[in-house]
Amino acid sequence: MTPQFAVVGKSTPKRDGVEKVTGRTRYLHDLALPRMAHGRILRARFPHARIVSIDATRARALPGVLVVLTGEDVEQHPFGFAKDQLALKRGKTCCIRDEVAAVAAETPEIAEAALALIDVEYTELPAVFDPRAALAPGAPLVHEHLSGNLTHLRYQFTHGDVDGACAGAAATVDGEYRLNFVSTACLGTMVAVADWNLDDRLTMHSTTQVPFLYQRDLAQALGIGGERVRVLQPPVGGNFGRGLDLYPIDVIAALLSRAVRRPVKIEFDRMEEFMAAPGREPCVIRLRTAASADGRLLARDAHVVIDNGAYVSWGSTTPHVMLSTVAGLYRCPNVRFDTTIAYTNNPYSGSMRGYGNLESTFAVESQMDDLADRLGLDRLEFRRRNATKPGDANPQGFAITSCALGECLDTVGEDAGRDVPAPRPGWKRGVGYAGMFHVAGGARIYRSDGCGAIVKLDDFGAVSLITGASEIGQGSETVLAMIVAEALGVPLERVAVVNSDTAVKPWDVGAHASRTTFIAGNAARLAAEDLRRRLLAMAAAFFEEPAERLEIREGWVFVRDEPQRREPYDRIVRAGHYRDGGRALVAEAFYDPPSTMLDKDLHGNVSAAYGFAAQAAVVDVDPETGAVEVRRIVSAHDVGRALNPAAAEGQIHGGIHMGLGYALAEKLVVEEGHVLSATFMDYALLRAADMPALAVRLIESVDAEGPFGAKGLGESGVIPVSAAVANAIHDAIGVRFTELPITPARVRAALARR
Amino acid sequence: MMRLPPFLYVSPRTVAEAAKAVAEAGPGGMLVAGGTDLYPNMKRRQFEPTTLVGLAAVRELRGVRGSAREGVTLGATTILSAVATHPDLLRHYPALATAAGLVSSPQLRNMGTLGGNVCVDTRCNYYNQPYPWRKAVGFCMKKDGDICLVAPGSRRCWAVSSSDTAPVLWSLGARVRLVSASGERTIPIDALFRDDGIEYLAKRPDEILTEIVLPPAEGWASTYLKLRRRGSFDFPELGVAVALRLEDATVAQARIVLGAVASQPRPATKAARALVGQRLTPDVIAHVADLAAGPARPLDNTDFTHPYRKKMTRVFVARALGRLAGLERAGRDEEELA
Ligand SMILES: Cc1cc2nc3c(=O)[nH]c(=O)nc-3n(C[C@H](O)[C@H](O)[C@H](O)COP(=O)(O)OP(=O)(O)OC[C@H]3O[C@@H](n4cnc5c(N)ncnc54)[C@H](O)[C@@H]3O)c2cc1C
Ligand code: SF4
Repeated sequence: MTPQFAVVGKSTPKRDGVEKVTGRTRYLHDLALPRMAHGRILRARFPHARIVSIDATRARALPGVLVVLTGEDVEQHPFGFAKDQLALKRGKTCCIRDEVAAVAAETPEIAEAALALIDVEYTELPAVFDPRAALAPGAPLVHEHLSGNLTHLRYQFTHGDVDGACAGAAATVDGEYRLNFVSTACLGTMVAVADWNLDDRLTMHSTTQVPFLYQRDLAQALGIGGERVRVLQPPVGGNFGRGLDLYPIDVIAALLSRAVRRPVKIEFDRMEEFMAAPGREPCVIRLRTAASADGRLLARDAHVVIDNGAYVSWGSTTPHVMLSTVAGLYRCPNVRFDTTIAYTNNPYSGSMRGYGNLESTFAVESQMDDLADRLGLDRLEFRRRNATKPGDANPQGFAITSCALGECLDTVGEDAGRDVPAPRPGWKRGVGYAGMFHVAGGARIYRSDGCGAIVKLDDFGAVSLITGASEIGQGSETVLAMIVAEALGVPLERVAVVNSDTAVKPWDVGAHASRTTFIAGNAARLAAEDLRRRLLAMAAAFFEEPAERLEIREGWVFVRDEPQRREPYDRIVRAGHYRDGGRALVAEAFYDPPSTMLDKDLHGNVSAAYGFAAQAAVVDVDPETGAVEVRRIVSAHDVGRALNPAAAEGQIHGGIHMGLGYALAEKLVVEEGHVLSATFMDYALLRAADMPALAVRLIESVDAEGPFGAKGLGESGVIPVSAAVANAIHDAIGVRFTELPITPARVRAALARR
Repeated sequence: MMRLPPFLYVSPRTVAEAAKAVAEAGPGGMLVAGGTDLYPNMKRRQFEPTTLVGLAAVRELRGVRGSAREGVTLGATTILSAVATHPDLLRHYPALATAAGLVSSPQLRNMGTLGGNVCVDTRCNYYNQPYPWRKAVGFCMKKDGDICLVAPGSRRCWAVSSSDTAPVLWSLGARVRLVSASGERTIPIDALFRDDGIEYLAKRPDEILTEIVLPPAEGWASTYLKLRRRGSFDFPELGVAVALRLEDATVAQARIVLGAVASQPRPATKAARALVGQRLTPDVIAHVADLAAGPARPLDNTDFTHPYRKKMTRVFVARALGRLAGLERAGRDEEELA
């Protein structure tokens, strides 16, 4: 029997929705503090050049300029994943993003004008823009103090006997898959407001999605203790992973504020955003998959080359997730995986929604189709035969608990062709499928994957959840409030969420890895359950009944079997408070999931639950023009339990939009280290009218560990899209595309070549 | 930062006042109608006028007069959404209504005017960029520099005529009235354009385009097809305007004009001539489409590569003719190529 929920499971409008669509939300961009100054960053003129001299005399003389800083003027400490960059560069520039100087001025216009008055003399250095070329002997060194351009990152994994399995296989397919730079294209550009006060304490107003890591990293980059940094998180206009790292903008805002002892705001314009905000990493995936005659996967062998760019950020750590897919999307007994990650003079990439999984799923699922064709098997049936099942332990040691991959595949198979009008005359129709495997119960990439929660109940019956979680537009405030309301038995509108101040909220890793509903949700649930026990204890004194006989539902506390003996819950709170020995109600919990960090061989059980999905894409291709029109996407997701079904669907819709852009249109054009597509005219984001019909199916496998059975789903919508679309195009016209985006010109050229 | 530079805005009430105001403003003066082209360009410092003479308050410039039988006159500041939905235009000059309705997005069509669309600046990937971008790659001769970045060594600019309505108006045989403080003239629209990316208009800067005059529509059929990356917002990568006069299913007169392949609309004269006296059979269409692709000489300065755009010229001309012939499989008004 399914449990009866009062709040959970019902579609609930997002709490920030009305304010956002009516233009009332005050984003960080809107924040203006008294005496606030405005900062701007002068960036490199060349992707690789020696900085011979910087002369800021003219800029400093401009009325309204408060300070000009260069790398030589200030004390700073290296930061970033490999601690390989300074916020203001010294000696040379390694990519076009590089921060050469920064200005604080009375107005943004003056700051902008001052940039033009800073005279920088450069000597251009030979540069390298391709990771393979970067590794050739004699290639220019991006960082001269390192012996070569290879980064210290390498992800190597083996399980079973790949060569043996391939030798004995009935069919193998090989391919090389090429993925390009794309941008998160957030509506809200990068922005930071730093406020360094006279006590030497720094308040950062930031769009970070990892506030506590940010607090630590920012303090280190500035050479101060973390306790001196407080992070405030106003509403964010999109992040999609961008807010996972510390970037020069944050450090520079702080340095400027320290220099002028006034709040300083730095805000990117759109061109700067395309140029200087990290996006998805470009990579080449070489993959081989082998299968037996009866359609069982035997082995996968993958090698990934990543263009790291000038500094290491999260983009180069995505092989973690690429490997999970190579080893874990469908049952595959033998797996080998390796990477080559090299510095170049290109811009560097950050984490972006899906985090390596779009890339590897594109390769893996393209080969699933090619293998099925080779073996003469139905493409869906081939996937079903290899589908992961509950109880599986995969080659990395991931323990699969709840899993409805088979059901997801069945659902999209049945649903794909429904309600799609016939193709126009001359157009060719194709249907493509792709599965998806991703962490859905946190991801232990730090020693702690935990989150804290405090629940407080006041005399008015108002409940405050103070959570470590970060709301970045994904709907976490809403779902966490729902969890608390459900666990406490109070109406949803009585629950407020406080989540944007590190001085107030308990610790959390951050909003990444689709973990917030699962991890912060469990923490909130534990704290709410504790509070409920305390409230019941108060009520026991009030009713003079044992607590076991009492219940709370819809805001009433009542005696079981005697429902006429009831009181509003806030009355109980007041009665328990205003008396001798009275108490206030606060409860606290910290949830750290039962998972392990991967060991050095990349074995372990990194998440407390795993998510599965399958998508079908119905596309029409016009052979004359090469136009591809996606008519319908059916997306079936094992979400454990849909706590807020409309929000879950919304996440998946947004993911599909992002995935379709990746598949068909978006490409950040980077040539010789320069970002050429720096406006929305050049960077072809899909618009509402380009979206196909969408059908989302939420499949509830009810996870034993998740809050009310839920699993994470924030990234699962975007991951399989490009693979499903590429497979559908292959189905329509018989051409296999191994590079994204699949533009009409490329479709047309491929057809002409045949 | 994309901010408008400071400028003086004057708002005359009549054409005569407007003509006087531009004349007085001198070389720093410019006209502005809807501003949907000019203002973004000013933010990118592609234009730096000191005085703008706004046409928004000049009532006499707005509206559609006349009939299909005697010809239609369109005021220059008639907004594109009015052109796109005007019943007489939809019925008798469908290519014009279609082209106007395919310009950018609904918001811009509610501000953008027909006259502004005819006079819209030419485009190039190296030019339609924020100022710092252009500075970083090195300025080109269209603004602030002296070389061409697309065709190094070229002495002229190859920026592309990107108006949707201009090729259509050309194919319909439209005439334009130009008024200045020193007089007025009415010229065929093909005489308004020049094949130069910088000096793309053959009118003086102080001449106001006041009216667009369409000849009678009787006996004419017309259509317009547009190639672009996405189904709205994007400028044409290729525009194909076809106008035909049929007599007993035989082509008596034909004009085919291509947009976005040169610095001005480009007539496919040879192809059009080959249509005359023919019936629109699939063979004839294929032959004419081959001929029409001849004059398309696109450069690599828009979103699609030039070999692709050239191939598409053939496909689109065939589709446009097929549509006028009532053949099946003749494509849509636009091909949404994301
Ligand atoms: C995002 C975006 C997408 C766009 N997409 C398209 C598209 O798909 N197709 C397309 O054709 N255009 C497109 N445009 C350009 C523009 O919106 C249209 O061309 C519009 O019709 C211009 O009209 P306007 O009245 O706004 O012109 P304005 O910006 O006011 O003027 C444009 C130019 O014409 C001159 N001018 C205007 N009126 C007169 C007149 N009466 N006499 C003499 N000179 C005059 C101005 O001095 C200026 O040089 C797009 C613009 C943007 C910003
Ligand atoms: S064609 Fe050449 S000169 Fe003209 S805008 Fe483009 S780069 Fe500049």
